[in-house]
Amino acid sequence: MKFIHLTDTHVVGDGTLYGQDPAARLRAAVASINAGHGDADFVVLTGDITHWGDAAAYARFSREIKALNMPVHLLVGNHDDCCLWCGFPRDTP
Amino acid sequence: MKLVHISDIHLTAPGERMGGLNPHKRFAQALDDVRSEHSDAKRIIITGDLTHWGEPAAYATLVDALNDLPCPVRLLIGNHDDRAAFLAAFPDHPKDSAGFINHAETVDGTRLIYLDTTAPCTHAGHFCAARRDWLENELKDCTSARLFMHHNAMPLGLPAEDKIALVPEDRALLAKLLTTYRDRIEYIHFGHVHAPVHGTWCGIPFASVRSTGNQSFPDLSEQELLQGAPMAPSYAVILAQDTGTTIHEIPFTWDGPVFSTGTNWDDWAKPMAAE
Repeated sequence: MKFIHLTDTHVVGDGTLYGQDPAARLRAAVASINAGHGDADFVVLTGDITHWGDAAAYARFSREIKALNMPVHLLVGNHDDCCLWCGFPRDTP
Repeated sequence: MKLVHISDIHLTAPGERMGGLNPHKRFAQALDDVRSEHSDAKRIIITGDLTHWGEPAAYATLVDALNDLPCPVRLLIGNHDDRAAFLAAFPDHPKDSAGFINHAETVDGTRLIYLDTTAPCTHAGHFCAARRDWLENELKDCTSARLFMHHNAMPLGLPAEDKIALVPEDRALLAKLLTTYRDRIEYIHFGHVHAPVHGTWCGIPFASVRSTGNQSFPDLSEQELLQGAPMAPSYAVILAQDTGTTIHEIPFTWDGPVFSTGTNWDDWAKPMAAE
């Protein structure tokens, strides 16, 4: 079994964080995983999906992560918001 | 116990570059960082490829560089080293009765075992019966050990890189030996691959460290050619404690911004626009 461990993507709704755009970094990671590790069984993302846990950030994260060619298992971290999280994305267990 | 793990410094004769960079400058930067940040380390352990071409002039620069350090330094040799030239530069260096640069010491109750996995004119690792006997003699009498070596004993899932791992015939017999003593071996630390690779082998955790020079690029499909890139180097700080092991990679050449943040809940609150 081969799987990918991705973590602390810290996506923000718009703009940059500490001088870089976390969503652009996530997009690059997704592209690298698809191109170089398409044989992996799944991706596990161990939390801090977003930086401020806001709906706009989850929406942006969702757009980027959908490009993955394999299942993704999401965990929440201290930067995430479980209330916003519970209904989103709706197809995540 | 804090240990500093440095590897693959690839020193050249003064003035000669290695892979486009000055290895002496990089090594000096690493040692300066250890002096300023980790003066409480018990040992600095350099796991081989001390030089790039095994030249006496390169070993002479190593002798000169190892001064004013906060703790003893322990040296291993790698495939880029020359055992005779190394011993000429370090004439009092310990070796085993067969002449291999195998040595060991007990620090804070843990046997630190430094292995010689080299053979002449090959980049692959070797660990013959004489060396296995020496290692078994060390392992059988201790309760806690930590192994340091240059080569990766285990395959890493990198087909090209794995061509120069420990050769399979020696690997199988080393695996048998380590499996016998796995209950007392805390960790296997190595270099050679110029990348941080972590996992378990024979039920023992292992970790490699980056080179202070150029890095390798992990290519899981390339069959023949090693892939390298001038990515940033690091050395490792190993916190070896009764409760377990923690390893930090220290990016000693970073000179960009460093952000400081508190750890209270509000310290990460989203800034609000002024009313």
